[in-house]
Amino acid sequence: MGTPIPLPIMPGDLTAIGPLLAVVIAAAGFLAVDMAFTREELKNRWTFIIGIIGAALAAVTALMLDIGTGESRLILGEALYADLYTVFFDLLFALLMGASLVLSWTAVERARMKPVEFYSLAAFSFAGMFLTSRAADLLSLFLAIELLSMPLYVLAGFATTSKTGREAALKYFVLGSVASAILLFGIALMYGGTGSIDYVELGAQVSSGGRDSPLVLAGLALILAGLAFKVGAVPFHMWTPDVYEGSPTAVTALMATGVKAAGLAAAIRFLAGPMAAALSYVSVMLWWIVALSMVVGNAGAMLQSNVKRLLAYSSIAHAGYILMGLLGDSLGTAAAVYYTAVYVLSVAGAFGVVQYFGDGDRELETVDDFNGAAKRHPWISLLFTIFLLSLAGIPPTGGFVAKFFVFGSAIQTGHIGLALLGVLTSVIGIYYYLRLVIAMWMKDEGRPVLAELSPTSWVVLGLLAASVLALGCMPGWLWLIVQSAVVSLV
Amino acid sequence: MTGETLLALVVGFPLLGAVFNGFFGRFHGRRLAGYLACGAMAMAFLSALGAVKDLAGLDPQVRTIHKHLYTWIDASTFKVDMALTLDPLSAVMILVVTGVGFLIHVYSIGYMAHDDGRVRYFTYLNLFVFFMLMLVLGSSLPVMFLGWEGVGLCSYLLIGFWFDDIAKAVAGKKAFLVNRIGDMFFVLGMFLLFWTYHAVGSGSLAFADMQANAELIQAAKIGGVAVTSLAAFCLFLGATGKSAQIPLFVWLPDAMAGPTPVSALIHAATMVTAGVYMVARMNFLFEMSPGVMSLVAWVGALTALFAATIGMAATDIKKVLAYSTISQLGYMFVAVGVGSYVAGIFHLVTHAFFKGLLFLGAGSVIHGVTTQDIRQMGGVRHKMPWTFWTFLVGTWAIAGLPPFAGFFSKDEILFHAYAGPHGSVPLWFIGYLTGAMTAFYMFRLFALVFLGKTRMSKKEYGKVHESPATMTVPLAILAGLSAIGGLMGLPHAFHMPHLLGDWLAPVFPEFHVAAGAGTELGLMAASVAAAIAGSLLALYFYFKKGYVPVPDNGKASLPASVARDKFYIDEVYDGLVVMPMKAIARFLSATVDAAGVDRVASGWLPGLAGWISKGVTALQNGNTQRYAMALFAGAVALIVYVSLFGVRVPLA
Amino acid sequence: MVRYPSAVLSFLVMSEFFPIGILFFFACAVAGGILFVDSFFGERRPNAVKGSTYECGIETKVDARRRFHVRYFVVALLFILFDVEVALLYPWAVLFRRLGVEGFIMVGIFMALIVDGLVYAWKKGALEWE
Repeated sequence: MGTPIPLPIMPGDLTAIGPLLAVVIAAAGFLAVDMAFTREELKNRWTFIIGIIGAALAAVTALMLDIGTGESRLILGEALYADLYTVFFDLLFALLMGASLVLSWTAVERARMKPVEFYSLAAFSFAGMFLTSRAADLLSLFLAIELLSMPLYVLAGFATTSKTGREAALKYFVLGSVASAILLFGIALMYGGTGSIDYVELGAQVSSGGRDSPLVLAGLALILAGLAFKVGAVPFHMWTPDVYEGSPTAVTALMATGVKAAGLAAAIRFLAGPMAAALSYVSVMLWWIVALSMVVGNAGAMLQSNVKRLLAYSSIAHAGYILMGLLGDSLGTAAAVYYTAVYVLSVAGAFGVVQYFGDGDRELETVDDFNGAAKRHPWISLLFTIFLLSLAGIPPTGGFVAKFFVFGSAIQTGHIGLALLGVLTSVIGIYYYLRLVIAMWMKDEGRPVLAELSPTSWVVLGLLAASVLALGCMPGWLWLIVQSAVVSLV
Repeated sequence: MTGETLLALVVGFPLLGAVFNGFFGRFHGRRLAGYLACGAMAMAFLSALGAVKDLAGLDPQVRTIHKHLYTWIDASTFKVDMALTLDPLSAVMILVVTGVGFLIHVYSIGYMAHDDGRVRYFTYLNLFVFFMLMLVLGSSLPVMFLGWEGVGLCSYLLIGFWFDDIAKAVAGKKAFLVNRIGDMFFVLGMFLLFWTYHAVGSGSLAFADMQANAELIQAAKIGGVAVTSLAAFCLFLGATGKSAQIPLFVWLPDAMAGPTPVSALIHAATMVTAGVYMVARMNFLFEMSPGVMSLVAWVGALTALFAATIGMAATDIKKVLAYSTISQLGYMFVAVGVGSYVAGIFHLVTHAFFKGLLFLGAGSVIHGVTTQDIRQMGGVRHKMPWTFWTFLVGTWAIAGLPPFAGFFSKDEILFHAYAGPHGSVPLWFIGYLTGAMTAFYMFRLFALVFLGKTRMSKKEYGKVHESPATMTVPLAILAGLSAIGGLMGLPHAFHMPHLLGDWLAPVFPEFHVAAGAGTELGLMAASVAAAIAGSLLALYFYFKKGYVPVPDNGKASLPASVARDKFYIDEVYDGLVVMPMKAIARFLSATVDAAGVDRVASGWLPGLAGWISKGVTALQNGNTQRYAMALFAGAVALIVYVSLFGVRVPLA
Repeated sequence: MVRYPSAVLSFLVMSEFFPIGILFFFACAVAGGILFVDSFFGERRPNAVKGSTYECGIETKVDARRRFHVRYFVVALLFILFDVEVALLYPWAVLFRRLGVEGFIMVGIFMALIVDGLVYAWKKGALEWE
């Protein structure tokens, strides 16, 4: 016997991790569904119902969080944060989960995957994503990233009939493990140098003078490398083209949207949060990562004929643009968050559309496969065009405003050369995105086949397109929210 | 309904009409399009009446109604509200625009009855009215500019309405381009004003704010020149574009390529007066720069004289009216230039009545006769009695013969040009001379069209017929307005109230005339005499003696042929402006663009990008070991970087 | 802030890790040196027996890098899962009373999730050997 030890759970903490609980319960629910039913259609129906309920619950519980005066709150023994920033990303991930359920279903079945198994693994991955924006110390960060990665390693090779899928899975797993090792090593060095894993404590140590420690520097560099891997920034990007191309499209969509956003959520929290003082030690490295990502990503995408590979390379470039925001002041951070949201919506839409194109088992692979799409399927081509224009950064879409914010903050904080490079490389971006648009609208020899879209899919795609346009025409409201979310970071 | 709501409805109805006809016109058919457009105009006119009635109920000192619709631009220090302001000045304008506009819409139903493009026509016409109302009601310079550009667009669309005829399409283009030069100066003036006001801490371009802070910018200078003068000069150049004054008048005669009701509405009654309205609206700015004021007056006077000279030799019924419009607009600029804004607006209103009437009359004649050449008309009087009588009223009014509208307004301008504080005898004399010439060329036109024996073939003459009621009724109403319109501005010498002057008094600075009633009456007598002389002379030559102007290729006296060829202004502009521009454009396109920019932008840069792209994709060879290697190398590079160049992290 | 040309070098010279560095250096030097010297003076007489793989005195039959059946891995994974579970349960068992009912509920949830996974694997046939 001894004195009772109170668990570090305060009232309200459970609400604060509500979205997390919602997806974990949904994931367990998927498993239960798989066990409970034997008929595929029953499994599918219940999978869809549970998934949608889980996503909705996640969104609702995210909104239920009491933000108070806008300051960050530490919960669960100071392991996690609860603030406007987490609410923002919770909503984004909940939306992604819903969109994945509605839009990826066809692609999941086309790749001969069982929806119930696919979505249970995806749900565990989502749980990891919900954690990334919350992580308040290095262990939570590591845990979150591992939790989101593990199911994806499996998912990448989940289409057992696909040879490229297996190759992608293995590459992703091997390289991901290396990256995790690097990240963990960085965390270890950091702990060794400071004796703490807590962001607040680390931030305090870094910003106030005292004993020197190269361990901390090396640790920072390695953590940066580990995060850059998840985000897919150069030179830690090599896995993206092969893995994006090889994985089933439904999984690629998840990687391009969820994983990237989660990596960014973690990176932004890490570099612009309480640890912001450390940013000045790695800003030169970040500068190079940003510059290389923009150049390599866009240049790599330029000559691609495979659509998934093209989007993979372009996602590298977008990672560069987003990280550029972190080099600026708090407005730059807000720009990065804004860009992340716009990017996620646009890519979710773009992949959503891509997943419906295809003939029987075969998906459309190359840019030329889209020839003449507009003639046969004008509406979906229009939606696709909106998403592509947003990714290319052409007004009146959100992509333009996002780039404007990012470049603007870069220029304001003196990174004029970087902003110039950003503008130049985004011109290349316009080139390859427009290649798809041209294929769809201005060539008519092709006969691309479109799978049947359910009314729900139309609604979701329409909403995504509308929000992309709304973010381009009326950026004000989200910009304000993002700014207060960023304020709550520090 | 409150005044504010009514104000929004005034601009709302024409927009609604345009949107409805524009988007659904092909479903509801051509006939309905005209009725919808007229209905929208009628509603707009009634709303305008209601709004003005509300305005009149206010105390004269606070006589404005402000309607904030939404915030158009909000860029920290630069904020523009999409707002409408009704004050006595814009009240006069909206009544003219919606009232005369409504009549011309009704007339158009008859005039365009056989045209296949009616839906498009009425869409444009309603859209024009919407933009014109935005122009006059806009509470700030940017909103006014929105209307300014909008009416320019509609003008372009309607001049080139029959665009299958290449000459008409070209005329539309010319109008657009010439206006563009003026618009550029308008924008420059607006920039100057924003820059100056912003420097003194008030970045608002709302008229009320600018007027309130006018004193703050009085001392501002740019390279030794007062900014106020520079801005006023730029704005005035903008006005010369829209209001067809020297040097940018050349587009208006060509603009007659559009349907005649369009000429009546846009190129006589409303749009072309926008420049006058703008100068009157910005009077506080122009008052601060006397030099620009006298420039305005002199440009107006010279334009009036110059256009009248060409008008005496023109042989196309619409061209004559076009030049007379330019000439009359010159009068209005004389008025605002000497600071007599009331007289300028007064003439603007009466001109809208009688010139609208004349154009519609001309349209009616063209409708019946199917030619525009006055040398091939004559004797139309007997076939078209309604048109004849109403046209006579219009001619009477524009000639400045009492007691019709034109007499009072023109006379007020001449009196103020003579005796006003900024006036002078030469200015008056030019106006006086122009008055006599106006009477001459208008009665020349009248005689050649309506009087004497017909010069048409018997078959053609037999086909001439009176226009339908939709056209004659508006003619009659406008004739009535032209006849009695002068009552709203009786001369002070008559010891009667100047209704328009009293109504507009809160908007404009006070205007004192030193000379007394005697001078006024004397000048009046002189100009009436000149008008009578001009009219009689014209009737003598072209009715009594039956002269007919020579054919275009015929021999004429030197002055007459120079006037007939419009003083070769078009040719001079062509040589001085258009040709050099084309040469520069050719140089830029062939040399700079094709050989320079294109080679770099579409040859070298993509080459470079493609080269990088090949390098990047070559690295990506699918080998996992290499990928891991790159990952590792990256991490090592980061470590090496922090080891060699990293600043020590100070720890607590 | 003062910028040092090389943070790591100055750190190595001045800190307590310096002796370890020296040890590391000498260890490498001695080992490498002996091998180097040996390559000069040592005799080499290779034969088949010397070159064969030694594995507990038993001759090797096949390549060591052979493929294993996937069920080995499934079982191994499940084993690790429960291994970790035990590792977590053990400290809880030590503090069982002090953590009270709340702790019990927490571990209950944890166990439920694990059991859910086990049942799932079972139901999927992951434990079927044939």
